[in-house]
Amino acid sequence: MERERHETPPAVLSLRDLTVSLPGGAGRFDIVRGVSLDLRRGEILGLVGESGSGKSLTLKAIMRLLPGAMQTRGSVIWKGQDVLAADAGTLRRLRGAEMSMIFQEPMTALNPVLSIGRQIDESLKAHTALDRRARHRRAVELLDLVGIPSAERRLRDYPFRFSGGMRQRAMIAIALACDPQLVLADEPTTALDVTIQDQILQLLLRLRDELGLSVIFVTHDLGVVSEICDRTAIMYAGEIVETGATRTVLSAPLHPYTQGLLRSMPGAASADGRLNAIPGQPPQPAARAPGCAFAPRCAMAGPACSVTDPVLGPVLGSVRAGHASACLRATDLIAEGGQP
Amino acid sequence: MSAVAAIARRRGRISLPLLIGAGIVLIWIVVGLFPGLFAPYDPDAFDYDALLQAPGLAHPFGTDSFGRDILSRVIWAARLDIQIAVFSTIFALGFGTVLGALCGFYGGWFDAIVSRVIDVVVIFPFLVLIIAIIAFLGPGLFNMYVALAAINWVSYCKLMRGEIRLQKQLDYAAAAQVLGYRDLRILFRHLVPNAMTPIVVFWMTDMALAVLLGSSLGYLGLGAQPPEAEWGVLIADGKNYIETAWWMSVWPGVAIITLGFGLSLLGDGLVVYFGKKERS
Repeated sequence: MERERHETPPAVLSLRDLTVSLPGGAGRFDIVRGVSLDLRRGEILGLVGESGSGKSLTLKAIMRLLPGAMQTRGSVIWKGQDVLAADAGTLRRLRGAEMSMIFQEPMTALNPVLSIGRQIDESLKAHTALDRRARHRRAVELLDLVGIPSAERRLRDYPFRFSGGMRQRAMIAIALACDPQLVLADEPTTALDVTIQDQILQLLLRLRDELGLSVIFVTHDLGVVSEICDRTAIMYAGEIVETGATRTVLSAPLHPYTQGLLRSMPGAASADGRLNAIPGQPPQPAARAPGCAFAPRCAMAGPACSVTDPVLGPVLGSVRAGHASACLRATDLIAEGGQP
Repeated sequence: MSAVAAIARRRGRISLPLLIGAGIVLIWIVVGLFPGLFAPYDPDAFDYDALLQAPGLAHPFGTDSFGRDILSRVIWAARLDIQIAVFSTIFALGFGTVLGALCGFYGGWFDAIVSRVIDVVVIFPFLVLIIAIIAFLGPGLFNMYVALAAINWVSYCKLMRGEIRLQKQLDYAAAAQVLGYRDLRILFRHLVPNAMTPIVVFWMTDMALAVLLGSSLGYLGLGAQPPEAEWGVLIADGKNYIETAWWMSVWPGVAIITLGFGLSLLGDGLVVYFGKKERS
């Protein structure tokens, strides 16, 4: 990714070799393995993978939300500053004011005993010098911004009076209260039904355009990815296996796992109407064999795949800028047309 | 879904136990606040013309061996017993809740030490420990409050600790963290209010137990001291006359039972009202 061919704005957030490990039977084992990513201003990056692939852990590691037993290595550089090395005071100033997070479950991520207005107010109080009236004006403005009608009145309401979609909007309003530039979204639409899901995605797109937000969007839904993400990184077993512009990754994937994901979507069902699931299970982090983590499930795996650990890098012969794959046989995939 | 819906439907419901319990407790509080309005006689006035009178028109609950009106004494004792209910529990509640919240939130060596202290306290039988402390400090209501505060905080501490450990794993706790709030703010403004429900419910039950305990200690001569009118003391006064003047002990006993029953019902009703499943 360092060898981008096009003029691109500099990254605001860079992950380098981010590794999260847990203590296990014999020493520690890694559940996120050497994740490197760059996020630019105004960019929405999709982080895609199945449950347990480490995508949410990566987000939480950026926010330093992981429990103490999980050890984090590598670096998370936000505007030239390493978040992983930041002290408690710096971290408090960063969180909420510069980077904030939207959670998957709007039902549980809001404090049930405080009104929405109080929750917005609290964030403004913690990070700005606004007086009470200015904070109130800002709160009304925020609810308007996220499309909650009759904002003035709704500020006094408690979360249980909001529907799922409205709660997610309220969550977004709280997250955006102090004008953060980075928003980490952890499956924010997974708990919502499809029409509401689309509204929230449109809202995020609009906010990105209006406020110049940089967003990392974690999801397992490739449909959502194709709708809002500029770039996409596919995770498998704690590693990024493919990354590139969303259109490139989804239309000409260069990793068998990405191809498998695309084939297993309901729209791509086989002739008899069954879903094309990827056979097998992801490896347990504690019991990883050497070589490519996907090799045991991969139809293309050759003898080298179970010996050599593939490295994420540009693929020889790929014409798409910034397209990288961690597959030893990526070049063969191009030869085969790279189509799912 | 049905279980969730059932709890949701129950939530906020004013149940019959809640109404009855709140009614009984309210009546006793009013009686305790304004005993002069309800008591027909001076509770301490001797009447040597009416010793050990059976319940009748002049003295609905009868009189004791000094001719004092039992009804008036039971009514004036309500003030003292409600005071016992509150003061025996409130300090334990305050201290135990704060300590439990800190333990549950921070964990680590602090939590380990407090938990071991709790283990040591709960090893001893509750009543024996209370009596030992009062015996050491000397009998009287104030020392009883001290003894209860010194022992009873463990219940609130354990309850709060567990509840905070649960609450801090919920998304809204992470959300508060992500918004850059200070630890203590997250703990006391966000987590503790959400963890108060079981504490309040337990408090009601605990007050009922405190009334019984206060009366037991009064009976044993370790709590309120005669001639002060306290239900337990009144029962103790009547114990020598139980065969000839049953009313001396029975009416204060009825008073204890109704207040204890009312507080228990109130606790049960609150469980339903707050929509939480009871935890042991």
